[in-house]
Amino acid sequence: MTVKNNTLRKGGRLGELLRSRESSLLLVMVLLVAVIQWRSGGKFLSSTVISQLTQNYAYTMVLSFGMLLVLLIGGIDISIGATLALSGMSTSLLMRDGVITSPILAFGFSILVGLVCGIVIGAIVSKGKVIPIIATLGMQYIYRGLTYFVSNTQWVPSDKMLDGYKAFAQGNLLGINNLFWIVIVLFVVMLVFLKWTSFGRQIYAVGSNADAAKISGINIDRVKIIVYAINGAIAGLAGAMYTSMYATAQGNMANGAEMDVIAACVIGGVSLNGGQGSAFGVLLGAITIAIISKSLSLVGIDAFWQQALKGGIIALAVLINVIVQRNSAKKALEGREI
Amino acid sequence: MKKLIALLLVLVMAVSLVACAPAANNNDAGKATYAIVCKDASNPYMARMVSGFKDACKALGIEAIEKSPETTSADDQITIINELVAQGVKGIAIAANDAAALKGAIEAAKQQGVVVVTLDSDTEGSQMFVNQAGVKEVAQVLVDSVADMCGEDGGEFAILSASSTATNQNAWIAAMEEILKDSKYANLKLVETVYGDDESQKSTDEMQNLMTKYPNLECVCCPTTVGILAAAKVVADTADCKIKVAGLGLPSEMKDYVGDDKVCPYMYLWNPIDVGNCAAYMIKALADGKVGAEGTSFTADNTKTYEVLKGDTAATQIIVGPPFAFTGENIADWANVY
Repeated sequence: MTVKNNTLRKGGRLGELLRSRESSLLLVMVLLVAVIQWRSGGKFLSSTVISQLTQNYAYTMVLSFGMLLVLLIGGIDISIGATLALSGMSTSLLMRDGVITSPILAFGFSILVGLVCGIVIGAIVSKGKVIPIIATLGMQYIYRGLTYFVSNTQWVPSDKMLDGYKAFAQGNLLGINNLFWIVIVLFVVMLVFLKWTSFGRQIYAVGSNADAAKISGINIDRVKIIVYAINGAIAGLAGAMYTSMYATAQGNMANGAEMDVIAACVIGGVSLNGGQGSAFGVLLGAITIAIISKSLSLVGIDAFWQQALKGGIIALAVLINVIVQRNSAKKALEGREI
Repeated sequence: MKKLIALLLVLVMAVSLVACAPAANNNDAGKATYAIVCKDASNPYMARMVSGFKDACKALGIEAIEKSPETTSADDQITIINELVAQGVKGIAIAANDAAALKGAIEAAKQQGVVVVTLDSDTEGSQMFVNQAGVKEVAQVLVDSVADMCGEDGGEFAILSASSTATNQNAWIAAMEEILKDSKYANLKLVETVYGDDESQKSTDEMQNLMTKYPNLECVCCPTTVGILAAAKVVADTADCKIKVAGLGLPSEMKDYVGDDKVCPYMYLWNPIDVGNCAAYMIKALADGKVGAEGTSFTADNTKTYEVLKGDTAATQIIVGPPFAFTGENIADWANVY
């Protein structure tokens, strides 16, 4: 009995690694890249395409980390595209009118607008007891409407934006684009926050079993509000990243971005029931979505089929992930002789 | 508290009743009045159309008024048409918010002897559609600018469009393909048509992928304002990239990129002032009975000659003129306009 347990644990270390959701996702990613590389005639794996990919999809990756927190507490936020637009637009407008005069101030203000948007949603969900999908569905329209309202349905053109703000998105540090540095930093912060801080563990507790968390003394409303606030602030950050990257602020920007972000989280192994998911998985999921989106036109797929194929690949990736996960869960139970 | 709310509601009602009361009839007796109805009150493009309309009315010795709904609502436009007829205007130019819904109101107006034309966007019942640009004219200037930018020896070019289902873009592209069959353009090769869905991120991806796939690409033609902006930004941000960008763009958005030595030497769009201007002359021509059957032509009071064409939804249509070119010389002026 002890012998059996020991061997299991020994093989377990490596086996655990191989069976983990992240490694199965990594496998899916490698397969995907191999197929794309073959179908695109070897054009995909080049430093140009990869740097374009990391730059173009940095904001979706950043949004995915915020969504991870929300999904972990068993919530969902489909208003992040609108929050991004509202914060990016109001920042750009203030830049146009000469109120915001430094890029750092611009990023700060955008995050602040997002934070306020997030707190409002958090309050509605926790204090108002409105289910998250309905609350954020409503707020999505409000934030999007506000974006059109504050901008007077006009665009903010690139010549009205600060040069430093636009240059930031195009700049590099150690050969890596500045926007992707934001992703890296946020990833490390999330990793530490979720694994080694008590608040991070509280988030998992609330999502796994809200009643148990409540009995153990966790203030659930507080956790919810803070999580939605962080998610909002991250959407605000993404708003600044978006407008500095594309050097334009348009009222309908990032419309539907939340769908790609939720897909990235699900591919990354985050459970929509809450309590399950990791920052590493989400990073891999977001990169997978970026690879799919970037490469569809590179491999020469007809525009009419691109959306359908994207959906197909997402469904397949999730399916493989779930099957691998189910097998490893079964094995884990066997190991514990349950 | 409840009493206060009730009081407030009553107050709001009273104020709105006063606000909604029909405006006093301010027609002075001898002078006819023409009215222009825009899609919505806050659109800067529409505002330029109104100014052109008013200028033309002034030249014709006619009183001009503008009445536009707050939002792009067809219902509000119906109310406005009815009000204008009650006020006794002689002509209405309308940028319709719906292709069919206004028909009843327009028929009623025509029975009262009011001349009704449509501009910018057509609707059923209108006597004439003042078309900002014919499909062939747009396609011709686009092909010609591609031919010019590729140089005498020709070369490869691609089209970056809006969504794959956009009616007007698809019509322009089909007409371009037709024009390209001419032996005059034999050395131009259309390598691919891609769709950026009028999203900054997707358009940027598509543009970058075109550059990856076709290293010999000389020109990209974007018949959409979001696409041309994304394409121009990608080229401007890429070191040593010699690709030229042609297409249809908003001057205020494209100010940074248009000029002889820049990414986009020149681009086109219609001049909203001319469209509004023309609409006023068309009302006058219809009122004077100058407009004949399809296929005939007539000279309006602005001394320009127009050909009467078959309308798609309106009874007839005329085309204002070829699209307007924005160059390095006039872009700065136009950037302040729209």
